[in-house]
Amino acid sequence: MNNKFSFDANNFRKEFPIFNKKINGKDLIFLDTAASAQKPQCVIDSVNKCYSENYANIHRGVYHLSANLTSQYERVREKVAKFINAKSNKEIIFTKSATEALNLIASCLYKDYLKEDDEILLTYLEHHANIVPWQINNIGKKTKLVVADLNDDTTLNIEDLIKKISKKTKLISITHMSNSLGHINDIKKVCNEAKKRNIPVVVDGCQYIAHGRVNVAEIGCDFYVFSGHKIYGPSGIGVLYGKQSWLENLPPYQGGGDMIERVTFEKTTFAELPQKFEAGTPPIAQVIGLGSAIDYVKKINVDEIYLYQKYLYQYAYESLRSIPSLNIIGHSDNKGGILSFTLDYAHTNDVGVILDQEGIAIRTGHHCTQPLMKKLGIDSTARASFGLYNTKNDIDRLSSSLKRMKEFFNE
Amino acid sequence: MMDIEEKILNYKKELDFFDEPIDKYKYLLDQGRKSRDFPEKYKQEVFLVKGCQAQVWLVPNYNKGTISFLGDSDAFITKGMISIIIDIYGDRSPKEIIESDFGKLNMLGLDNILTPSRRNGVYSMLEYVKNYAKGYLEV
Repeated sequence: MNNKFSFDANNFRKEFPIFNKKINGKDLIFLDTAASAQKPQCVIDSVNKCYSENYANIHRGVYHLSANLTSQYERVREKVAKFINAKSNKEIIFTKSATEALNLIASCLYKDYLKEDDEILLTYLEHHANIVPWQINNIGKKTKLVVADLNDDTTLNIEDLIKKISKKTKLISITHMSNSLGHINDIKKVCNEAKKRNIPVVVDGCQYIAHGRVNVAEIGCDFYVFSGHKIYGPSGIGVLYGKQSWLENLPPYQGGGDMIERVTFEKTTFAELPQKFEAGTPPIAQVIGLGSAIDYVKKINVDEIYLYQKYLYQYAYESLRSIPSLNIIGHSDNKGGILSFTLDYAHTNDVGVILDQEGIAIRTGHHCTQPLMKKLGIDSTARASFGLYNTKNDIDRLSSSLKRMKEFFNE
Repeated sequence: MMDIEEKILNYKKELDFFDEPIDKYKYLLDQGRKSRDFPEKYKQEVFLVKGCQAQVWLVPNYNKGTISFLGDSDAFITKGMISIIIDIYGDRSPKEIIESDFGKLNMLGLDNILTPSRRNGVYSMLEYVKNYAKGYLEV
């Protein structure tokens, strides 16, 4: 393993004010970026500046502040489109979260597209946000969820997924990267198989957006969703990419301001894309913050961040694998910066509480993937996840705490 | 028998003895280890305290005007906290439990265990203690 990595995380870390904070008197070791990333000063400043210098409601305002912020807001849409290589700004819809984006797709597809007895193909690696919307919108149509299996090493069994595509399959909705285990799925292969059969594919990119370069044109998906807070942007902003042909044909999701063309009591006609799907005042400052976050990761170099996080995973894997009574859940060659584990002698909740005493923040629980946990025969995992500000020292601290932990519980 | 507040103060005194937070958690582990055995037969869905990250079971027993509790968890620190709570609120009349100030538990300084967002079951368990007491008040 290459120990000489030129990525200067220590320097980047200085740009995140949260790391000036002490937790229980100790330096913060933040290993929960998979849940939400910390924010660099430039993102915080951009949100502050939006409210303190530029704020007004956007669209249709004739005065300077509104017009100015509208153009900033729309420039971020353009930035996002370029970031994931969408063909047009019209294919980028801002939502309040990736969860809302998935709910939007499910709600709209159920209105016209999905019919009685249709099958939706998912995988065991899905977050609840890519399971529950397909269930709660399934009113009176009795569509069925079909679930692709895992290999013995807990990675997705693509052959099983392909085998489960039937004549009834009308949609494949799949995560790009498992939020619980970190496996990266071969989305391109899934999309190729789907395309042969003319089946649309929804990709949940929440984790992957911070772990790999996304190119929707190359992937060939019909929809791609992600959230801003996972890539160092603010919370409260999600992105829905949808192929223009799909978005043009789908009915609106919510009614309200901005999504209309003309309203009468008899009939309403709808705005063109993308406004058609952005009813109400959108998360304006959050969009501005997302733009700043994208600038930030691009400036550092997106590919280097991704490689560095993979490197941290490998380093953590090597450090933790020899710790007695510690079980790493889901090691594979193609993973982002997420490492899940359990301990034989303590519940993951105990592990999280004790690590917190040492200033180490990890996540414990089912990570909103209960069907996956059930499949693995466990209730929960402890999950350490890495961002661009983490260092080998963070992992050394985690490792040394975990080495001492057995003594604590067995004394 | 000490009243609820006296019991809490008693635990506070014991916990204040420790300077290092980690030793407080060790104390909780010990409390869990010392707690009464929890019969396996009670590890049923009906006794599960919902909304917890760890599994938590709470079984009330009402006898001649007083409620006692049995509790368990698959997380050790949570189990320790539960045994303390059962000790504080057990063997009391429903009225005494309901009229007590649950906020006094904050005196124990174990805020991060008692905060609902931690989802480790203790906060939820307190809600169950209150609700069981309310239920038996009407018996």
